[in-house]
Amino acid sequence: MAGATDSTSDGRRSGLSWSRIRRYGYDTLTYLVYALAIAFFIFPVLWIVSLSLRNEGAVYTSLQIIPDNVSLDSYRVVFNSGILRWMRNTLVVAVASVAGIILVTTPAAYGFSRFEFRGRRTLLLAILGFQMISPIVIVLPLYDIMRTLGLTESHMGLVLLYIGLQIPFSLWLLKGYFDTIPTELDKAARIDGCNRLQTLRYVLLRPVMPGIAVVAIFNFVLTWSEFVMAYTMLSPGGEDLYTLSMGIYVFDNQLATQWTNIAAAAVIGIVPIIIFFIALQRYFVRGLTDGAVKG
Amino acid sequence: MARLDIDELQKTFGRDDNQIEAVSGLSLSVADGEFLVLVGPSGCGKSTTLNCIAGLESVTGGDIRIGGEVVNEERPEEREIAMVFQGYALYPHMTAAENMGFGLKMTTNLSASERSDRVGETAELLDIDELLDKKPKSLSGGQKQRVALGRAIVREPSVFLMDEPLSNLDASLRSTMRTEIQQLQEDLDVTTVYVTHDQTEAMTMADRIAVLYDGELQQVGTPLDCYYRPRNRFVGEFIGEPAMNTLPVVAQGGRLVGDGFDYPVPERVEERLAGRELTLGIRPEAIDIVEPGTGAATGTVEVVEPLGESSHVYLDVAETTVTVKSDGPSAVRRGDTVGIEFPSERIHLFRADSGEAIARRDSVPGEQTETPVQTGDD
Repeated sequence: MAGATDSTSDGRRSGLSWSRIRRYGYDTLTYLVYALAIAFFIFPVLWIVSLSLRNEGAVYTSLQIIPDNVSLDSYRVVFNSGILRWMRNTLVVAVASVAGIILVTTPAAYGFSRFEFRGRRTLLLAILGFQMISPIVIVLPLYDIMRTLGLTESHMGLVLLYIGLQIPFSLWLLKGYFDTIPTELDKAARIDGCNRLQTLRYVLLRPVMPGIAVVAIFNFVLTWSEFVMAYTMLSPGGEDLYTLSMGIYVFDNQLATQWTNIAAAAVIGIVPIIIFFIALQRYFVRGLTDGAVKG
Repeated sequence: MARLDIDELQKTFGRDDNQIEAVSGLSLSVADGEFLVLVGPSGCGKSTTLNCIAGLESVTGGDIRIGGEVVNEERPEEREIAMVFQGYALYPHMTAAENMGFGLKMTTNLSASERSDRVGETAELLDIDELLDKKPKSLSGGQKQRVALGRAIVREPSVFLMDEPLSNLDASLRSTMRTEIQQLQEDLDVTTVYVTHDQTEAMTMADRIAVLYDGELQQVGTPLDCYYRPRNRFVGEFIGEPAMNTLPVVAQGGRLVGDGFDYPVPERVEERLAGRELTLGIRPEAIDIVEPGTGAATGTVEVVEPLGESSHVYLDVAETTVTVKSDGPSAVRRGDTVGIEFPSERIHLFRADSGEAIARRDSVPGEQTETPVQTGDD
């Protein structure tokens, strides 16, 4: 009897320690994957910061993250090249695009979420299908259209393009948020005397605000750093029209690729995004998880 | 306050070949100040009917009249109705006071102070004045429901519409709120249409209940009328807890005969029944357990559920389950063989094919009054 008990308790002990080893192994592996993922994303940023602090000559000669001779020359060059103007242009384009996208997609998402109409599903799928097309594929036809409309070499044209290109994703995302809000709220609002637009304005807009924040942040980051469309539409108009991503490209010219200047401009361009993102991070994450859980 | 009339209401959803008829030809009148409960299983069309009354759904056919005026084309706020929803439907970003005052703000010319006074008075009536500054997320379920009631009351509507307002509350709170809603309705004397699938709510709260099934009105009458005098098998089975027992029988030689079942045909219906296939309905509380072989049938006890003040005994009678509700703890145990007996005035007989009642009691015990509004139903 005693022997049987010992053997059982021994068995349990060895079982426990084996499971512990497995758990530690699993945890270690998980953290290793995390560390690799973080390194994968952080290293290029650190490398760019490192490059921006070097002299041009030290670009190809040292693999150290912290250079031997730290220099701020590149930042001086970049500031004197008009980066503040490019940042202002980028801000105008990004804010106008985000505002436009929200203005268009919020009522549209409300409509798709709340109204049953013929072709609704087909239309939604068609919009999703449009999202699948890479902007690079359609950049030339788009340029032709914008030129015909006289909207090239203008920020307005670029803003309209961004709005058009970002509507599908933003619409689907916002529709998901509207779907999570009980339709009883709409009914209560109608009983309280609201028409459809007032229902959206007074009752649904606030509950859907985390979703709007996600759309705003996502599109702000995207338009802030977008290059292909901006370059295609604005480059003939001269440096005064440039956005930040185009401005960085100025330092890669026929004479040389000025890596340290490119890196300095990139670092300056990243800073507002990082500040913006850290400030709104909680809202952004809440918006994403809200949608995930409720949707 | 106003009388509500529904005349041949029809509502279909979908288009072309894909149409679903949610409500078909419903006619119903609710007297001024009456509390009518629309009851039925899920998908029977009761909420659709309520939405049509509210103006949240357009009607496909028929008329809805409030205070004698046809309101089919009027918007919800023009109908002088207020509605309470199952999920409270409080606006999450507004305080309780703002929730209650929002309808007044949108539909009246009252100043902010007048609106605030009205909200304050209603909050006092409902004992929620302490909650006025709180947002819905910091309120309990019962408090939310009180605020939702307040939002309806503050509008001073002619008709209250309530769509399963107690379904989200726990059992004890539901019971308390049931009483409160009844008292409020009596005090305010407002015509009320209350939708529920809970027949206990229907029985305890209503002046009259309207039983719906598959979009059609099955019966309208006082709760006891529906309980004692069901018009058809569906009403008989739906009203009452536990549900009425139904047994297939054939009338033969002055007796009702089924599998393992033999009962004399009551004199009041004897002539009409010869040779017909029927469904015999008997309520669990009308059955007595007797010695095996001495009653209408003999069966084996399958399950005994002691509930304290009563017990539910489930018997196997020729492979049909018969439920018996007895007072206090049951004397029988699982596996016992017992007989069942019941008085002839408590049996219900329905046509086997259509389920329509063949013979109903002349009156409800202890109730001589007529229903407040006569409809074509009875």
